[in-house]
Amino acid sequence: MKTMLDSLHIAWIIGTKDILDALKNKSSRANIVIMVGMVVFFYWLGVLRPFDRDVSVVVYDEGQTSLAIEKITLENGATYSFQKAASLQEMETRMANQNLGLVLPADLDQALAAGYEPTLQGYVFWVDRARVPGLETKYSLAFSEILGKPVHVEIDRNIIIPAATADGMHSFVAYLMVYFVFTTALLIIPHLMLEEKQTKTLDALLVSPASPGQVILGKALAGFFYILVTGGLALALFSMFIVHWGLALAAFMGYALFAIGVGLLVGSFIRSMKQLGLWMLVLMLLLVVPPLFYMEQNLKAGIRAILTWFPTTALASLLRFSCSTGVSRAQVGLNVVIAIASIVVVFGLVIWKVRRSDRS
Amino acid sequence: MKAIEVANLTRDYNRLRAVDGISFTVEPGEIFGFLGPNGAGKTTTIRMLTGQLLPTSGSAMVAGCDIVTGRQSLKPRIGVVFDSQNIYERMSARENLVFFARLYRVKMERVEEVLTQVGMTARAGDKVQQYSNGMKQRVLIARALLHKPEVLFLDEPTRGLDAHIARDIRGIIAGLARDGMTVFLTTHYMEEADQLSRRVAFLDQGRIVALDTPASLKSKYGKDASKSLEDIFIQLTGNGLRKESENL
Repeated sequence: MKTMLDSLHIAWIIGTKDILDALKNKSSRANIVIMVGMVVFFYWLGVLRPFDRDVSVVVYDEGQTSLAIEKITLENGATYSFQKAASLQEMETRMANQNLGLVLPADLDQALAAGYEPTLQGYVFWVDRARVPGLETKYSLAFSEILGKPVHVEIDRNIIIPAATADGMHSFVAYLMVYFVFTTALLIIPHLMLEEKQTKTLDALLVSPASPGQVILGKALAGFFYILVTGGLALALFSMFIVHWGLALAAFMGYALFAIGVGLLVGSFIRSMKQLGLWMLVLMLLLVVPPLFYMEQNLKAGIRAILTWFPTTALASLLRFSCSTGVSRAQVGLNVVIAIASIVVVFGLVIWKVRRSDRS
Repeated sequence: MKAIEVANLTRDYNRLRAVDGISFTVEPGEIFGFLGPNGAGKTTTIRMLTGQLLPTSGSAMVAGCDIVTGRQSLKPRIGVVFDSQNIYERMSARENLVFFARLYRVKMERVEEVLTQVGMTARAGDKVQQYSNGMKQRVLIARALLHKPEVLFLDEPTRGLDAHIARDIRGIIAGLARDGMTVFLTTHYMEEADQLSRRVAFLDQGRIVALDTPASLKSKYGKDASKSLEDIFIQLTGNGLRKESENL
């Protein structure tokens, strides 16, 4: 127990040194700023913000109402564009990437003519329940302006969480997380290790009480810190999509551990910046591209089956499941097994490499 | 107990024998000069004695610790100044020393003590990348002394330094020995070895070809009194170089 605490203490000292040292290094600092900027950029891109000023509405009209299906700009500058759906089911399907589903009651025109305040059922994707009253107010005001009479848009429990296999934002969020976490890990961790080798400060560390394992653990802690900065920020910004927080956090830890393992493995092999660049390219192709292809719904079954076994595809699937409904235990189980096995293998390789190089 | 005891220490790199069955002892409080031409095996020997490299065969005890089985116990008992200036350049001298003080679990007051000892107090807050080579060397020595090691390994500590700074560094080394620290010194500068070391060993092609006090070596190998340690060094270690040039 004491040995373990000592190890953690030494790893912590090395890790904190690396965290601060990376902030003093211009290229590491630039990498971190770029990654954080990309997270914020994708968030503000609009694709990931279901409720912004340009609202797309899929309308299911139960009767033949007088609502004009055209693009409308409100006084506050917000624009509303409309699509029609023939049924409630079609509305839900078609609003996969839309902002709002709206059911117009059959007696809408009569109610408006009689001076009543009719209630329209609104449907949204992945919204935090706490945000529902705000959205109801926003849409009630918007549709009152559009229809020229006061109406109430009720969302209440009409929150749609799509199936894991459905196309939608959850796939994109899961993929972006792979991109953010792995790019951060591959930019920071091998660089930390390479610099220690090139400046030979690693020799000084290894004659100090720090063991090779503790040095590696220290680098892993520093890497984890920066993954928390970018991946954690992404997770926080995309939190509106998460339905199963336990699974989401487990998936995030899986992303982090696997990315750290890969970063350490690269760092233990490379000896120059040139090699690092080459490894980065190869690994980005192997790790970041498969889950991107996996998002494609029309992918051939054979290719899909192969991509399923890629660790990053499994991790992305787990995060996608955390944003979905109707996920089976078997689906989760298979991906958990792939993810854990990958983490074990990659850390096994790191330990093997460190032991092999130590004192030889 | 000897500070360093080496018996038949050998190290091979693939087919190349870098260190070939060397044996010697170093007394506590002694400055031991370990001299040899480039590629003679000096750094490999230091790396083995400091636990960084496993020997192919043979054994060694440093500060009472076996270099193979007692690596972790050995670490707090030794200090190493490497042949490269391996300091964290974006950190200040003080930050470097505080980092290593935390690793060695040394009190922070010790950081100021060693900074004073090597004359670096005034610039201790500046980033290392702004230092001259001489200042970096002082910081390296301070780092090696932080935890008050029993044995200090110095690998070419004055290489590339100008005469004034080299003299200052030699003064620091002599002071350490006066305080009872054992110093294992490798250097290219024969005058430095002559001036500082109680005994010197000449290493050539991985083998010790002579080991004694500088005075005894001069009287043993010098045909006349004017011969310097450098003359004897060239006489004893030129064999390998001659063979190399013959092969060319």
